[in-house]
Amino acid sequence: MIQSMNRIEVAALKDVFPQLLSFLHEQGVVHIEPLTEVPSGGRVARLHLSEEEEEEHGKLRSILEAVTALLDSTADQGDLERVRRLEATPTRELFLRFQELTEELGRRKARHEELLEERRLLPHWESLVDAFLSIQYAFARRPDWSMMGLILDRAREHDIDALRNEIARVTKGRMELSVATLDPTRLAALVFYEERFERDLERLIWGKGVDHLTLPRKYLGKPLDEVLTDISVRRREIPREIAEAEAAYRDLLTKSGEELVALRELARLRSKELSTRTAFVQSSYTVGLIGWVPQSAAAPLRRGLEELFGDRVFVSFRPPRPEEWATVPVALSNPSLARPFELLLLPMRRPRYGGLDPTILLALFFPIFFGIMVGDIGHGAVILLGGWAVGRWFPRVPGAVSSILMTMGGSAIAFGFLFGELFGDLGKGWLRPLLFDRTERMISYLWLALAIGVAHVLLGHLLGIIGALRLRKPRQATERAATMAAIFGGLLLLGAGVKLIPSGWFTPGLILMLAMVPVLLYAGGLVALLELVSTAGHILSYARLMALGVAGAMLAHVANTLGSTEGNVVLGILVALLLHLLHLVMSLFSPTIQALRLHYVEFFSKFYEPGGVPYAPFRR
Amino acid sequence: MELLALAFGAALAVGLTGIATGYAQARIGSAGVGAMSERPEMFTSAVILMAIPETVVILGFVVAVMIMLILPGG
Repeated sequence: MIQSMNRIEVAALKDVFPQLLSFLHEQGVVHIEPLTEVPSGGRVARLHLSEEEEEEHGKLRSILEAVTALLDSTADQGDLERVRRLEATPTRELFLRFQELTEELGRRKARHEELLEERRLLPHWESLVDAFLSIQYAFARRPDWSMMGLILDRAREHDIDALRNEIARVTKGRMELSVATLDPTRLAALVFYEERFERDLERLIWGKGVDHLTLPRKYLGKPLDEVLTDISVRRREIPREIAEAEAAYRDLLTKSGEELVALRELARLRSKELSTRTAFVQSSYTVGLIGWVPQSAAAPLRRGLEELFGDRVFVSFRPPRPEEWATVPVALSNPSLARPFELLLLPMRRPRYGGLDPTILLALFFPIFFGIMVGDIGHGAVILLGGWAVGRWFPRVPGAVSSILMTMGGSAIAFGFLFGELFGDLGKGWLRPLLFDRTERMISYLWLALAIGVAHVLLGHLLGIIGALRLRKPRQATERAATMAAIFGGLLLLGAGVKLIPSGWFTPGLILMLAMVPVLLYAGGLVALLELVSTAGHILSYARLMALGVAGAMLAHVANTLGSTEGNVVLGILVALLLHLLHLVMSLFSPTIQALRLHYVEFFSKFYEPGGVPYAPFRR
Repeated sequence: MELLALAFGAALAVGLTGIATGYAQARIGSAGVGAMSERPEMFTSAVILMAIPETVVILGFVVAVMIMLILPGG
């Protein structure tokens, strides 16, 4: 359900502004409406940050970015007590402490990364030097000169002279280039050049698409065999050095980690408070704010403001006007059983304020659709246990995932009893289907799927009528009602045609359908007629419930048959287990996608009005 | 002869729709991966879009099943 919202308007004397901001932040219920326009020429202006505040904001942002990059995680909220203890500290002091903590940490991290890079490059340096050893080449030592290795395809051998000329042009002739064979397909080239041309040279080499390595200066002027010995010694030593550097970094990170997380949290809170200031307007003596709060939070907020600030703050609340609905933030409030399914609405944009929140219906139909397709006690039990395990052992996975998986598993078990399936046909003989065996009565299964489709699509249209009336769109409501009536007429026609109902219903069905054509044309034009046809397609689309169900049941049957035809019992069980595992993965993936698709495409298209602004309160 | 025609019809119903779905999914999949490389949050939408053309093969499968049920012994 979409929570009812109230518009809040706050005006306060400037002397209580910081306390007011902290109070609103602490309460965490006001969704502040960003200022789009402030009337010019009046006494009211947008509140801007002072130079000092801008500087403070910059420092806070740098703390936030640097700590986030160092800790590689934004999920950890840190120790709230520690955050509270630090709250009284001025930002300048926080920044100094942050610099102190991160300087050494950054140095150790850089050292570790440098060593990792050296380890990556050592084999390349080795093969390059090795190539030049065979031609008894010696690295020259010249002050302010550097050395770069190039790796070229042998097929480009004829381009070397052109490359030499290009490098000579870029380095104004202050270069030397030597070429040797690296392996049968590649050549190695060494370029010595004056260091001041390094950037121009790199740009040239990068533009030519040639692999290149910059060799360490310590190797310059050394005999090649000594360089090779050095490299092989480094290759032996470097794993230990990497381990030591990593341990040193991790050690310091562990010691200062909690304090850094607290600093980051505080920086985040202060930065948010500062950026929120610009949403206020100001006059000479007052500041003002416009926002939205859930209706249920309005009274406690008013009481809190009155108790704390008395007549220094004025606050008013009112329900939104229909013309404001497009800008009202949307907060969802659903019963605890349905709440996890809000997760499945995330790929869609939020419903509009005044529209309908389909979470409860999603929580009801999604597991049913999944259950109809999987319909196996064994597979359902594994999914249920998997969902429980995710909730128990994977704290970083949102709890909603575990709840949804457990509901899906429970539904698959229930439909497993209805279809009499336990890991396919393993229960055959003693497990009787309560409804029917779907592998034998496929047509009944198809009718069940289509009947669910009719009910689901008609429910969608009914909700479409309600939604259109709530959003005051009478034509849209008429169109939906006419489509519903036409579908109903079509069903009578079809039912009488296939002798499911008395043939006397044929004519009323036809009349009803034909009568709805002018209504549809009036309410929605030709598009409405096309939508009627697409609605019929949407109902047929529910046949996928049967198609995937039959395919799944057959796959489970194949797994058992292949397992039982093996002469070796252990091998047979292994084959069956592997196939069931494969089936289980497919059962989890495909029916989930298809059940979601039936909601997003077939169901929501009848009533869902997306485009709501998510409710994002100013809170800690 | 009629049996052969029915079996062939069932095979065509599921085979051709399978090829059509595969073709559509290949196009949608490559576009989806392209979109995801720029905006990884598109993953869910891309997966849902991939499921859209499956309707074709699913309906083909349903038709094939119905033909097979007409076959003797079906």
